[in-house]
Amino acid sequence: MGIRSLLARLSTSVEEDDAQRLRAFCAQRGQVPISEIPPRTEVTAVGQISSIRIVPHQDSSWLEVTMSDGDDSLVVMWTGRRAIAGVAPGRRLAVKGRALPLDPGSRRLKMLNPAYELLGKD
Amino acid sequence: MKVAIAGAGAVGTFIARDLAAAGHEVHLLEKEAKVVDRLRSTTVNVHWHAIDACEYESLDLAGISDVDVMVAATGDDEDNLVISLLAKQEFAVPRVIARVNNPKNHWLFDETWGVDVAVSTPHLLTALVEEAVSVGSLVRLLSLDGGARLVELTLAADSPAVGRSLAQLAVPRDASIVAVVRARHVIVPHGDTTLAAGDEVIALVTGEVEEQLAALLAV
Amino acid sequence: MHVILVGCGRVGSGLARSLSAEGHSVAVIDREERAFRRLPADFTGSRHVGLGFDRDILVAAGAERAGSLAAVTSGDNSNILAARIARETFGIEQVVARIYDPRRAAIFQRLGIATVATVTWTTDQIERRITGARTADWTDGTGSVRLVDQQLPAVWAGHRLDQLADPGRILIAAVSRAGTAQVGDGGLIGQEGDVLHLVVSTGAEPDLEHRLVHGPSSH
Repeated sequence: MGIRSLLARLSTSVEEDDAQRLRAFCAQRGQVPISEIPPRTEVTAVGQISSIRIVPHQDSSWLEVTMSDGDDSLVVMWTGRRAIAGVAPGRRLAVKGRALPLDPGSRRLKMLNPAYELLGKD
Repeated sequence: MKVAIAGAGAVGTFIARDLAAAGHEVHLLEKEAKVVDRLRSTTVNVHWHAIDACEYESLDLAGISDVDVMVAATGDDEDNLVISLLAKQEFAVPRVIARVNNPKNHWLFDETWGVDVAVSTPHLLTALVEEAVSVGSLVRLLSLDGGARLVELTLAADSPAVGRSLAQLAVPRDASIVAVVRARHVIVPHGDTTLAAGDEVIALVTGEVEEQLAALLAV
Repeated sequence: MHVILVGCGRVGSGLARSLSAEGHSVAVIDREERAFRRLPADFTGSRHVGLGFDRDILVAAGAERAGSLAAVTSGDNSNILAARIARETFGIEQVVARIYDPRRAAIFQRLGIATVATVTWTTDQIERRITGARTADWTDGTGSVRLVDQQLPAVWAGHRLDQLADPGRILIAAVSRAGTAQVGDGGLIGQEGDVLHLVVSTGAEPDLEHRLVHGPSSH
């Protein structure tokens, strides 16, 4: 086995290991996995922020955060915000609210201005 | 469909009666108990709730968590915005429609406040013009007393009416074309007005001629 | 600092008086001209008749250069409208809204707007948030230990709050968040809107200031 493929295998296993740990963390802290969130029912979901976008909106902007629990992802939108201190990629987050389809008819879900709590890594 | 309407003024009560008559489950929310007592007997199949729709607990009690549509129809723009926000953000209502009372406040009525559709009567036509109305299908804009309806149709490129004048079209007797909107300009129609693809044709119809008109204009 | 006050009732006029006295420039908005009678005779700030969520009125009141806005009319909905527009359209940093309904207050807090829910504490709380001054809630008989309230500085968001404590000198007595409070830090991670209730020995005040300003890596 060449050094390159060995490195590739090592890094893959590190990523898989991270994903495993994220899954375990979310399973322990969240009420339901993101993939099983029932629409329009108040739940607490846990995940790690994978990306953040600032979406311009009229005179203001929306903060669009995508969080993943290792299996599925949830979009969280804060209207009228550009940034929330502590909300950054890699941060783990618990959000509480009622989810609705990301777009009409979409299977992916979003939450609007949910109550949230920043979580540590453990 | 389950619909909640906030505000039992002329607008709210009218929509409630209309939707209840069409067989929908209608809940009418009004904070003035006196108004509820006075109007309750004038409606059929409408569920009345004497509550303030701006309060979370009241909305919860009225069963907002499973309505399909919330209509914020009070005479107060501030209340309508807060009701819309609560409906969308707290109860994830799929479709939130809000009434704009003062056109100056129109800019506020958008997704930031949970509003999917804003309706201000003077703005109804322009709003529909600005929004791409589905091409080739007849859209009902407004029902008037006595059975008259205002309808709108955007002409597809292959519509049989394209290139023909209104006189050539032979519009049915109980229909009248009241305006043609082309490139956002309103054309007052005459017999020699020639229709073009993309034109938005607005007509007043009564009785059964809606389908005949659609057949003339649509593919 | 330029401050806009929406609502010239007892709270609004009281704030106008004390903020002017502290040397801030003040603009007051009220929908009733006669509300301005509550202002002191020597009030030098500007008065604007109109709605606190009207963009033109806000511009006239100096929204584009204001450092803070307090919405203290008697209407919860008007207050939240004015506060959101101040924050989201004009980017005003410190925005406070008085909300009577505690449930609505908690919901609006999630929009990133500080809400003051109880009438009794309104003036005191708003002023503290506007000026950022830290006043003691309690001081022991000898004056050597004080209990102070502190809004969480942004540098502390995302960090364990126990890093702020210093055994024997600085103790985190409680943390208020989203309408409730918990005793001690319990390993809590700070987030926007948290209010820390700190017990501090007199000599440790400069140290506390330094830690608050520079964040957890400062010691």
